[in-house]
Amino acid sequence: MILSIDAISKSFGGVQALDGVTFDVSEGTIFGLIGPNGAGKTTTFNMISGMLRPDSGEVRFGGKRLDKLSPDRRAGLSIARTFQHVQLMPGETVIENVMAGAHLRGRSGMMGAVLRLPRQRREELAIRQLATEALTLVGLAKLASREAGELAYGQQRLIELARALAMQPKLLLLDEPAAGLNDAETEALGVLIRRIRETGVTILLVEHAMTLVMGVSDRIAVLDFGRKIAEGSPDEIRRDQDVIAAYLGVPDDDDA
Amino acid sequence: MGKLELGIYLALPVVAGFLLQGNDYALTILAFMLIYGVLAMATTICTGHAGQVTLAQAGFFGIGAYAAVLVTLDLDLPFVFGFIASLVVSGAVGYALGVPILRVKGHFLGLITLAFTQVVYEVALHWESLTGGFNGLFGMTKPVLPIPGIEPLYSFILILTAFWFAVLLAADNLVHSRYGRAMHMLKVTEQGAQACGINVSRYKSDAFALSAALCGGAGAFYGHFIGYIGPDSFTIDVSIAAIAMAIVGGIGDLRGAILGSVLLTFLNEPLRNHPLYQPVMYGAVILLALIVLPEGIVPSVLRIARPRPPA
Amino acid sequence: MTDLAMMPQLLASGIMMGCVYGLLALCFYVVHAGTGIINFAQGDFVVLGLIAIWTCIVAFHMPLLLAIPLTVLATGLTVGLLERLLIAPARSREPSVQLLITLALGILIRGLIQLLWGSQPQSVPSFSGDAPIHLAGAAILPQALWIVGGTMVILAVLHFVFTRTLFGLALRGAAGDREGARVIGLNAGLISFYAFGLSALISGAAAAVIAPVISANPLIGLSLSLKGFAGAILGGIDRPQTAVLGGVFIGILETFVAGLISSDYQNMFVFGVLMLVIVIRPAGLLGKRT
Repeated sequence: MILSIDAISKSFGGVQALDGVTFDVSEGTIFGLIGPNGAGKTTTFNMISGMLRPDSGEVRFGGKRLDKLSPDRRAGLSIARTFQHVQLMPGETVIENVMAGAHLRGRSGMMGAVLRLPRQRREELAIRQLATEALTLVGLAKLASREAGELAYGQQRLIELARALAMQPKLLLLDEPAAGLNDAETEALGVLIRRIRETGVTILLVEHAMTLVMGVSDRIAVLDFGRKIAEGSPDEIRRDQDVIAAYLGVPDDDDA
Repeated sequence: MGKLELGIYLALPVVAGFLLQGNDYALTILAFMLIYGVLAMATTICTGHAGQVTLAQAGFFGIGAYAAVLVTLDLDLPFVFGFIASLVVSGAVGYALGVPILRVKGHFLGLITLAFTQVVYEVALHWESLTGGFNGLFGMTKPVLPIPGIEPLYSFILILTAFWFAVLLAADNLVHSRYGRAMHMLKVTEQGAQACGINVSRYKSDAFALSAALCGGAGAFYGHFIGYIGPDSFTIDVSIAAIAMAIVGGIGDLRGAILGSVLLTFLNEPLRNHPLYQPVMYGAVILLALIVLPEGIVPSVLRIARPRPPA
Repeated sequence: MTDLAMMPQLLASGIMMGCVYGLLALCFYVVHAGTGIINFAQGDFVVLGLIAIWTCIVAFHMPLLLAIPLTVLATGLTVGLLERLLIAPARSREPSVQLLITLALGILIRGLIQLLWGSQPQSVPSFSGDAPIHLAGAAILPQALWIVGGTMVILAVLHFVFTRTLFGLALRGAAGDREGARVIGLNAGLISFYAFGLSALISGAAAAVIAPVISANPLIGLSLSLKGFAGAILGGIDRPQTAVLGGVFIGILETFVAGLISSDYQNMFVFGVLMLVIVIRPAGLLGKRT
């Protein structure tokens, strides 16, 4: 198990947002985490990425306890993430944004940067190379020198994805990557996510859009009111009575 | 910046100074432009690039000036040692100050650095055995180059230009490096920075300490150029001028710091004998720039000049 | 006079100044909670109030009953106008830009006052004469009672505003979280206007009662800002009650340092305490634990 979520709970001002949620993600798979609004998906996500700490329970990554580490330390363990609302440098070029993702590939410090020492220049080239590869994978290589803020929203989400890939992550956390995308873009994203998995990256996908999750996930967990109500393959989830009840009346392709 | 562009920036003060030899007044203004240029570039790094609003420029300018002058006057060492002392002492104080306050969330840095500048002023005023108190320190001479055929004042300008250009080059390298990229992410999105593995507080305090060291170096030149330093040389007005220059020129761009320091030093000249108008001018100029020309002159002009690439 | 005998006297003047810093700390809270901005021009709002009360009382010989409300109103209106002109247009900009705008606003106010009124301290006569009242070993100026009483009245009014008005609810519920405020039904623009306006009303009222004991030179705004801010940090900028106490503490500390050591070291002590608090307990000594 590359990622183990073990009985995590969290409450906000008396409201129990998560109640003893447990699941495991095995290496090289795509794990989907779904649930209606307010089910605790984002809370779970934030506890894996480090934005929140659980009140109780453990998050383990490759056997190592994560729950006390800051978000940047988690990134140092090769856990990459994207955001629900894009967190880019809009005034910088696309490639600069993606290069930021390869930050941890470099070692040279302030002096190296200020004096442009040879080692720093070699690192910079390697970082640029990684960023270009990541951009090629998401299909944005042609836009590398454009200003990130000028691009369409869907493209900005892809820049973020490329930035995460430039980290060469072992685990990639995607926070509602399809939010705000149209059907064609969502479909292309599904193809892309599968292709990323083929490079050996484990993916945790928190998503509202059911078609995307059902289409790409190897395994799915369903949350409702802060509890896990089901876990299994997409087919099992589709047939699960509890899941059907929880989603009754909710259109299964809601991308709000 | 390209090599040609950098070469032009280096040539400008060298050539202008050469042509202005004999006109001490003009050379003095040029020296002020370069000294304030360094302060403005330090502001661009810390505030414009890394997003940490600071008013500590005057404090570090003062610390650097006193450190340098004490080394050259009391220890009787050459200017270069005083200059190095100014960088080291200001940088160290900047780091010691930055590490705790930058850990705190929110935008407290501005007012705390304002308090810091105030305290440096008061220490300079009251620690008479070290700083000479209200009377300050005097008697230091400006460094010159023993080049035959050029004026001493011009040779000082050459040394100052070397420092100014080194700062420009260093800052430009920094901005275009992994290190500088990480600093810039702090300004735009701390969450995004953390997701990339960037230790937010470390890069903040580094940016702050670097800009402190540069302000200190500028102080070393200032003290030895004027030949006198006292508490009143390092009031909050120095910080305000540095910020105004960086903002007017364009705080996101090093060229903006250069342009701003040139423009405002000129603009300030007729006001020198009317000190009451100075704060009004600085306040109005900053507000005008922030509201009418939010990015500052340089980025606005570049945006118009540069054609958009086809989609 | 021995040090011990000075204690009640120092405490009395400390509380007097502390009231002003406490009100300023409250202003920092109001603006920070409403807009996320640390307002650099805060102390200069008080200076605006000082100019207003001086104009009313010394220049136009108005009775107190007219002069005080007029001062509060004039300060509030001026700042409200400035907010609409300068702060509002930049509301969607980065926080660092908004910060710089308040900084420039402070510089401009200071500069204009210096230019128009001159740098000479202007004094306003005490409201009820200068014959000291002897109380528990301290000679207390009648004006001190005005200041403490005035502060109580302001705090009572603020308590009402915070607990009974929509704006107060938005402010307390949302402290810093603009999304939350929108839920309550006030938009961010309106909250910003109210926050700056309210902070100016408080500043004006504080200025009115403090005017007779303070030498109102334009540069005092900077040091008022710093001490009010130090109080807010000390007490915790997210909690109005303790922010006020933080300000009062700064006033007492400052007076004791000046009285027992030397007034040369006032600001250094205040700054030292500020740094210490930030290092030891960033949320403020009395603030919420994070």
